[in-house]
Parts: sequence; structure tokens; C-alpha cells
Amino acid sequence: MARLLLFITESPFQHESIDHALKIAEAALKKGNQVDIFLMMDGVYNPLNTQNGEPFKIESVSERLTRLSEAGVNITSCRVCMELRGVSDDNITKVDVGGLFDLSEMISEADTVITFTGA
Amino acid sequence: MGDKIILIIIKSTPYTTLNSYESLRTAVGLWDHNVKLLWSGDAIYCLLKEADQTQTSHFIRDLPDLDIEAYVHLNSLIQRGLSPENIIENIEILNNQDVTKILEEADVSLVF
Repeated sequence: MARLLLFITESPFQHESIDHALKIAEAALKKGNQVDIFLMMDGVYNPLNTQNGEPFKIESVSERLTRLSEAGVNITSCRVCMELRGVSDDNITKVDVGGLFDLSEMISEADTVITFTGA
Repeated sequence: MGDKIILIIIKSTPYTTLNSYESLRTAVGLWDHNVKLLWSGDAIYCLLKEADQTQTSHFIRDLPDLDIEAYVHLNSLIQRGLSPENIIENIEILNNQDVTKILEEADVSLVF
């Protein structure tokens, strides 16, 4: 079993990279791997529980993150990035809120790190 | 203490996004690993002596104290009509072979 870290700085619905990241997470889980996700910069918008994909007939990213979390994925959102963007603990789905210290630990434990930064 | 060699590659043009600032904040935050920074592509404009470095200078100043190695891709400078003399001090110049080497050595690459 490998441990995979997905480093995401992209916002929901803007780029398909979020969809790719979540599909990779789902596939890695299905194969029995451990998956961690660190959300930074605009990536912290992904767990917003006020999202509604209905107008575009798509599932909200936060619902997919909730499902991943319930399946055992460790998801951590950068507190500084959240505060900068006015995202509070109250309006996000079930993710941990942390910082670069947590990212450092997640990198230490990861066998593979994939970045979704749009760069 | 982290044990990974982390290469942070900055490709984004400065000022258009927060990538330049956030890449440096991340580098400093991961200091307990072996962190290396590489400016490449349009990101090299961040290093120009004449560029506004209000947001980034304090991070760049602290890099040596945190043993964070800072590099710039020579070809990216040349392609933009620039030379090593145009950029701030304490940034090591890497040719293509050198860049390949640090890419090979890295355990993790974070791209901004």
C-alpha cells in the first residue's frame, strides 16, 4: 500500500484539475492506497458546504470531498489561506484545518506527491 | 525533522497571482526538510533587481539562514533578454544540465 499526497491550490469548478485530483483520490482509495489532501490558496474554496452544482447538473466538490473524508482520506485546509479568503470553519465540510507544519508532516509520510496548482 | 528533498519550482509570472508569494511562504514553512527553490520561465521576473520585492524580499533574505538553496534557470533569463547581472544576489545560476540534476535528486516537486 502506498501513501499518496495531493497538493491542491485550484478553486472548484474553474479548472478540470480538481476533477482529476478527486478522481485520482477515488481510484487510489479503491486500490487500497492511503490518500492525503492538502488544500492551499484558492484550494480552500473546495470544501465550502454552500456550493450547489445543480445549475450545471454536476455534483458539488464539497460533497465529493465529504465522501472521500468518510472513506478515510485525510484532508487538511490551510488556515491562513482560509482567513485571507473569509472562509470559516463553520461553512466548510468535514476537513481538518491546519498549516504548513501539517503539510511538512504529510510530505514526510507520502510516497508520492502530486501537485494541482495550475502552473 | 523532515527528511525529504523538496524542490519548489516557481513558473508563474509574479504579481499576476499570489503564486510567487505563496511558493516562498511554503518553502520557508517546510524548512525542516531539505528545500530547494527554482525560478524558471516567467517567474524569473520576480528576481529582477528593479522589480518590486515588497512582498517577497523578507522571505528571500531568510533563505540562507534556513539552508534553503535558491536557483534560477539560466535559459529562462537568456530567452527573455536578461543575464545573471540583472537579478538579485545569492541566487545560483543553473544551466539545463544542472536543472536536470536537481530534478533527479528531488523526492518531491511542488510547482507554483
